[in-house]
Amino acid sequence: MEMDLTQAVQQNLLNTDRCLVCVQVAELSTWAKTSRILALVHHQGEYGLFIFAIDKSPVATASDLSLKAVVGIDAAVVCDVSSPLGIVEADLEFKIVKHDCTYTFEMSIGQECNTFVAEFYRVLQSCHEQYGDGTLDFSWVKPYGGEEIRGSSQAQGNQPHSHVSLSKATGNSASTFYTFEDNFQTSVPDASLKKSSALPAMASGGNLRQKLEREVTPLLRHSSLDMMGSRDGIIKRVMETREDEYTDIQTFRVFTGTWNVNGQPASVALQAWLAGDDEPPDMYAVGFQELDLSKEAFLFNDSPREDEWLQAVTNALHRGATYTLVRTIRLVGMMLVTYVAEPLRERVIEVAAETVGTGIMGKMGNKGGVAVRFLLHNTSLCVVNAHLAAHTDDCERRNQDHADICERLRFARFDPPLPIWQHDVVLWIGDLNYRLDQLAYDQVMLLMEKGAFAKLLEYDQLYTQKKKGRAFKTYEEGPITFRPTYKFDPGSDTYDTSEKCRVPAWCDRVLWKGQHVKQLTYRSHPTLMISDHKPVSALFDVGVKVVDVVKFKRVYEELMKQLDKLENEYLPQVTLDTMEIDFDRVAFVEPAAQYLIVANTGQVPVEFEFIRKPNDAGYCKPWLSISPYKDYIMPGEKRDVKLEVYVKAAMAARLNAGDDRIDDILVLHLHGGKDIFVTVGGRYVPSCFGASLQALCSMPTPLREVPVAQLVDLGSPETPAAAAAADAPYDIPKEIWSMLNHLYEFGVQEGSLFQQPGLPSEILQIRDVLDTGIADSLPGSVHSVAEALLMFLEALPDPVVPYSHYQQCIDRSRDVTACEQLVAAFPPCHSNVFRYLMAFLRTVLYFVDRNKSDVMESLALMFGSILLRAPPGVEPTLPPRMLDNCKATFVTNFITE
Amino acid sequence: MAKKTYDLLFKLLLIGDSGVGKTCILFRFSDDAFNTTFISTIGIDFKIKTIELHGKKIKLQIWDTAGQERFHTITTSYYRGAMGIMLVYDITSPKTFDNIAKWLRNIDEHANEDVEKMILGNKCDMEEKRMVSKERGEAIAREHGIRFFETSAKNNINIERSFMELAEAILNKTPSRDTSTNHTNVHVSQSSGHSSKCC
Repeated sequence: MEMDLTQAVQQNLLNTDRCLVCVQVAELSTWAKTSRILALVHHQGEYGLFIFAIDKSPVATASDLSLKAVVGIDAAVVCDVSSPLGIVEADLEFKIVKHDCTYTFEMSIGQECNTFVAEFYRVLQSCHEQYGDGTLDFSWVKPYGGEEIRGSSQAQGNQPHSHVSLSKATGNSASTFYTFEDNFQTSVPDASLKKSSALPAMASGGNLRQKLEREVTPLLRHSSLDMMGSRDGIIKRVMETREDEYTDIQTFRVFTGTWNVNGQPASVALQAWLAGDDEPPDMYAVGFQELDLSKEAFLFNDSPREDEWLQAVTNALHRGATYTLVRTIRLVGMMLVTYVAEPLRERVIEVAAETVGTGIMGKMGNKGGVAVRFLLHNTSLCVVNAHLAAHTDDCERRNQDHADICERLRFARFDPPLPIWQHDVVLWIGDLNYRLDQLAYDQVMLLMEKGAFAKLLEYDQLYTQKKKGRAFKTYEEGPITFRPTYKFDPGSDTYDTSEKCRVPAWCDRVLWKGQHVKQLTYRSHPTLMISDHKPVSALFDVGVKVVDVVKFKRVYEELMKQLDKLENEYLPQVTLDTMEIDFDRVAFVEPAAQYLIVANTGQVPVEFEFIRKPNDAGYCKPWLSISPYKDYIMPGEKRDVKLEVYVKAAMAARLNAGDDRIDDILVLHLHGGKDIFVTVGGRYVPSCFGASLQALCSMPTPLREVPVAQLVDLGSPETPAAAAAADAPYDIPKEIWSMLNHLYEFGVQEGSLFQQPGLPSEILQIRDVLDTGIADSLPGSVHSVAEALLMFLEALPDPVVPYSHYQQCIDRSRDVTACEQLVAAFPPCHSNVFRYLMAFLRTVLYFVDRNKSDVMESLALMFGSILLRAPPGVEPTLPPRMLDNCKATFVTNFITE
Repeated sequence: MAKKTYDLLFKLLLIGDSGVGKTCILFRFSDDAFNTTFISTIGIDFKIKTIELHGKKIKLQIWDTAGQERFHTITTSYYRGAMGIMLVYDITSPKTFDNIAKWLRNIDEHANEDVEKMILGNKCDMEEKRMVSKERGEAIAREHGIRFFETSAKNNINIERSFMELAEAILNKTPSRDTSTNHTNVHVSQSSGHSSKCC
């Protein structure tokens, strides 16, 4: 009975630790695919991803699992889920990156997978929020027998933002990762294409074969390529890890602006805010809050202000460039518009926008965020425009709003929906509403007059909350050198003079995260006075990964070459000890065996099979048998294939006549691979078995003394040699005479003649004596002689009842007189042999004293089937039973007294 | 579970007398390597190579056949299904050149009617031992309306080129399909990991 997987995992854990969720996956190292169990384990507020190997499948007990590695989950962990190249039906690829250690897993889409991924994201997100950059030591993992996978502090120092991007292979691989077994493969990108990181088959180790069988066997029926994971998957993974090699960082200027317009109509020109610089930016991201404070906007999310402000922005864009609107998105009063300069238009793809409301009841759109994301060249970029909870005392609420947006804002067009933090660059703008704590209006005014912004900033809630790691922890913000942007008397540059006399604050902010982002300016624009907020802008130089087509092609082609090479190496491969099997001397009914050693010298299990050649009936000639003719061989193993020749009565005539030879080419086919030709040869020793009656009658000497050429001629009745044999020296072949004479002398009194089998070895001796004429009398028991006689008759190329007379004999088997006439019409040697045999059988019967009729019946059946054989290729006109009866009847006509 | 990694699959076949260098030509093309020891191919082996032609990823499956006479009846049965056949002779061996006619007959009898053919005069690096002039090679190719190259697997002369030309000839008569399928788009396929389903 299959054990619950979670239970099996739990039993492998300490009591303090709990398995939250687990799932069976396939780990993809660069080329190989191995079954694993992934378990998300909780330990006192910390989490680890435990990777188990499956020692026995299906998992029945806890001991069927062995722990391979643990990845401690903190902010350094980056997780990426994708479906390979957008193939809908395909499995999900789940990638975990921690520092320069990458694991890639393949999951089949389903409930289990969904639950696991969702839970993992939840944990990861909460770790991001809770611990931020703080590196946890994961000492609780140590009792499991190893250390957790973690990067060195040096690696962290060098790459302060490594946690927000996919960690690329960096030269300073000082970070350590621990795995519990040497042959557990992790794909370290640097070593990606080395052979050593390939299939487990190539690792060393004693239990390797078992391991291979266990892990690889289910894949046997697929092509060798599948064993390496899908080729597309590999291409995608490797191209990703090598992105640095074919992309250059190109800098683009990005303008971001945010303004809480307090419900005012777009009545002013915005150039002072949006187009104040000499150089035109390459991209605009402009966010508004409180665009529309009307009930309609709130209840129906419908606002005429949207177009108004969009127009105002469009009109005020820098004149130095032509801009295209990328996307605009609005939720109640929050609106975000994005533009790119014309030349970049084609380089912006995968555009998506989403909104999240965090207002009334935690859902409504009066507060929350809107976001636009897209891919600019090869860099993914996300802009969030947020309006967080108001009021000085509601700082916690703002933190929560931020956390909610991070958690809930997912771009749904991706599968799974893509969260904000999974972008290379995030720009977060908006009225974040953080205020100045502890300071009274006058104190703020005083510090402001002095221009002591740094001092003032110490009281800024965002500054302090961020420092404590309670919000925007992973984001950066440039130094603020402008006066607080809130709250002004509308239409003026004067801070709030109303009764409430609000303390000025930097509500409107721009933050960012990502690599290659450099802030150039961070300003407010006090000349715009219609609102109680001043607009804020920040100008960035953002380094974007731009594909160098030439380099891309080079890397891609190199990869193709390596994959082809690998694919060729992974084709089934065997080595044979010989390509030519020589049986040397092959004789009638004398079995001989040779062995062919098939060694799997390739990397993958081989399924071999001897296959039929075109125009051939079987995969080998009838005198040959192959065992096993198909089988599996694991890498490094061998299989002995037995090839056995055995020339039976039915094949002897053709071999004697030279119509067939001990000569065959076998096609050894490797499934999914090549075919090998194995030549089988031998020299058939002609024998009187299989020679024609005419030939034997005309030969005064034993068969071995007749030259082969003459033998061949004698075999065929149409040749002149056969015609000459009409005046044969003998009435019946001396070999038949010899056997019958022997049986007359020693056997007729043996009641069970023809009922007992002979000994094969004695039959061979009898054959040799008949062929060579060396001995005067026949060796062996009478039963062996009797069986030899039957074989002899069976091997005749033209049976005793000649093919030409067969049908008439069958048709008229009940007519004794007709049968007599038919026999008289046989060629002389045939009729002589027939009569001689019948006389012999009558003698045999004469000596049978009991159950005479039974014996007669069985002799008639036996001789009937041997003496009367249908010409080859003739369809029987009667059912087998009736045919046998006719044959027996024919014989009975001649042996009844 | 096998995912499509190429737009087209072309089956090519190398035929010709034993010892003309069929295996070496294939080895040079697939592994960019050369081995001087002669190991007679006893059977039918193949290698794969992925190429790109006119923006299409083409997987070539190249079958290398035993050249020995005694295998001919079997090897000809592999002709069917081949989309391109390279008929190789050895410029230092007139006998292998004389047999071209016989090989062409074999193709006519056993291969698909529309198979794309090419004649290769291999070992063109061995100028001092040349017994068949380039003109004779060109003449017989022209006579049959077949492409011709003199090649050297050893010195890597015209190997890549001949395979590419043969593949191109096959591609040209392949009915064009929807080109959008799986076409490599730098921006989409290299999007730092999160590919979308809706594009």
